[in-house]
Amino acid sequence: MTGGGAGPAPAPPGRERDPAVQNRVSNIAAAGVVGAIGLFAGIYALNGLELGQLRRMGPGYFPLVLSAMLVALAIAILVAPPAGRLRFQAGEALTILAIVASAGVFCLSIERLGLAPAVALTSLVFCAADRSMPWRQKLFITAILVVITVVVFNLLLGVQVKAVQWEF
Amino acid sequence: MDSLLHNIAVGMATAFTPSNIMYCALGVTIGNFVGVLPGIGALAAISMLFPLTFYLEPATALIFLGGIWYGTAYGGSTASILLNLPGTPSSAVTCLDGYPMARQGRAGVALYMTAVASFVGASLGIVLMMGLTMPLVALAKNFRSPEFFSLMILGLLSASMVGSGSPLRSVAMVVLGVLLGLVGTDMYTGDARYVFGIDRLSDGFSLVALAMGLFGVSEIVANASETHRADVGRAPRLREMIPSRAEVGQSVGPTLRGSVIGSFFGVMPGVGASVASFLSYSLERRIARDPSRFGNGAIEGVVAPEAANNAADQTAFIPTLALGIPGSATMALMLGVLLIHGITPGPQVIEQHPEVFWGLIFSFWLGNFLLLVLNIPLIGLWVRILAIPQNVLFPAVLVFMCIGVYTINFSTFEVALMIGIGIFGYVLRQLEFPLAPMLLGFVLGPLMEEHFRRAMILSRGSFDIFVTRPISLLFVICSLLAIAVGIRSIVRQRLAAA
Repeated sequence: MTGGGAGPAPAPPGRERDPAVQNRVSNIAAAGVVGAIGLFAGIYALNGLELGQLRRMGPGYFPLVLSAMLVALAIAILVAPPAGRLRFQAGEALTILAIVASAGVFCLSIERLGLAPAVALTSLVFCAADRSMPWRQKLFITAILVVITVVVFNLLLGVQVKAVQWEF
Repeated sequence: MDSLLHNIAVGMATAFTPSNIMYCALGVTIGNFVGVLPGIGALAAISMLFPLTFYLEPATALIFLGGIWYGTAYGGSTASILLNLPGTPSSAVTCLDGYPMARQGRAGVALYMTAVASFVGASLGIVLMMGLTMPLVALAKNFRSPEFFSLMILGLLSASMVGSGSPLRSVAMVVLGVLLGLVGTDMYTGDARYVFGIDRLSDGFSLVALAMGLFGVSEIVANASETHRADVGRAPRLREMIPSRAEVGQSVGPTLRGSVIGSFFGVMPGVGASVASFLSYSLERRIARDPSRFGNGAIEGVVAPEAANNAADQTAFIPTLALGIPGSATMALMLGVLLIHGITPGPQVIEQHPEVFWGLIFSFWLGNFLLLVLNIPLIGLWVRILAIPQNVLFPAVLVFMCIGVYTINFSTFEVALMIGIGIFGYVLRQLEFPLAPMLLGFVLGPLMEEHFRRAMILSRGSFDIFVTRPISLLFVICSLLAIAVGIRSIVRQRLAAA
């Protein structure tokens, strides 16, 4: 996706992170995510839902049990041996941005312009982030995709989306 | 006997309609292709094509997605042998001897024998499915809520304990999945849970948006930077595929043993094809007269794991269809097909919808036969496709995902939800959380809650009900064993780290 620029940037000398520290950071972050979701779900169940009793549970009972389990698991993850190290990469972040941007374009165009333009725009925006691919290839892929999607979804499956429309 | 003959007739009548034959052929071809591609796995492919099945009959939908599932096992070995890159995790072990065979100029023999072993393995799996499912259904008819609940706990726990990675993180993902499964309207009281005033969430998260977000988006992110072309050389000629008499003789035993091992482990939740293929490989090496041949192009090391993973792929359907308990995320999606068509998974499915189960069985025969026949001629095509850089595929993957999710309700909200879940899944993956258990928890979550609530009503709030009923007690004991296995693995990691 990122073409020639793919892969993590080498750390500057003297600033290389200690793997053991990264392992701990990974565990703390993992426990943080699980614990935060657990706490949030628990507080929501306690405040917004009726708990009931074990013999006749309300809508909040089972979620509360699950949230307590998540908090307990978060604590266990925190003290457990590290499962791995953080490995966020700049190239992957760019791919995510490309996905978000192209899906956004799809959402904006599918109901206003129809299937074919939406597919073309989505594909072009996604391809734009790929610096390794020549533009001729990007246009070729996009054209093929438009043909395939219109044939499959409009003609074969009869999906109720117009191939082209103009609704503003 | 009469009922079996009747079921066979129903199955053949369903599987051999022109449209079902076409979807079976399409499914196995797509599966074969996806299996060859090292980037995209069966789970991502099935997630992406899942929305197409809304337009199909439930039996056709399962035939199509099932074809993709076992088709990948055939294709996965092709990439393992020719490229030393496993197309699927269950084909990883095939690299060990398949690739050395290819380097010795025996790729043709390896590919041919793999296809035959896969067919033998799958056939045994299908025969077991035909024989075992009905007795299992008869047993499960006695199950009430306590049994179902403890069986689900066992399924989820063993799926998270046995898999690779940290058991704690797997269990956390299962619980999170169950919690996500509860989003929406409570079935008993009608109260909205975790909906935050968003109308679209009152029916809960859509399975498709979740599956595609978790597996489709993260596959793109993880693989899109792969721009290299694979160096695959040329496709082997037909003449080079004919094995010698000695090679056939060496393959018979390992193929049969692999089929048995695969059939057994396929039924068990969480174990599945990958473990079965590794176990059958190590068994063959252990009992071989000359173990030093392994790793240097031993045909036994190729046929045994391939027979095992194909057998396991078939028998994985047994608990899924007979009990409604999926052993893996892919099987959870298969249940999703039933749920979306208004069929509640469980032992009653086979009686109420015999055409779905028996039609699927006969499509397996057809699909595996097609794969056996197609696998060899298609290898030339796959070799050419593998030479195309992978990043060309990803715009297509993204576009198909967007259209697929959008067409569920013709709502862009689902597309946004998929992307949001995808980003969340990416963060989780970076933190070493396995994502498949979350999907498993999500599908089983609402059923688990229902059975738990019913069991508690039955027992007037006493947990004794789970241990005073014998079958439920058995599941509870097995669950405790699964937890013990998990704790042992954590302690071992701790000792290794110290």
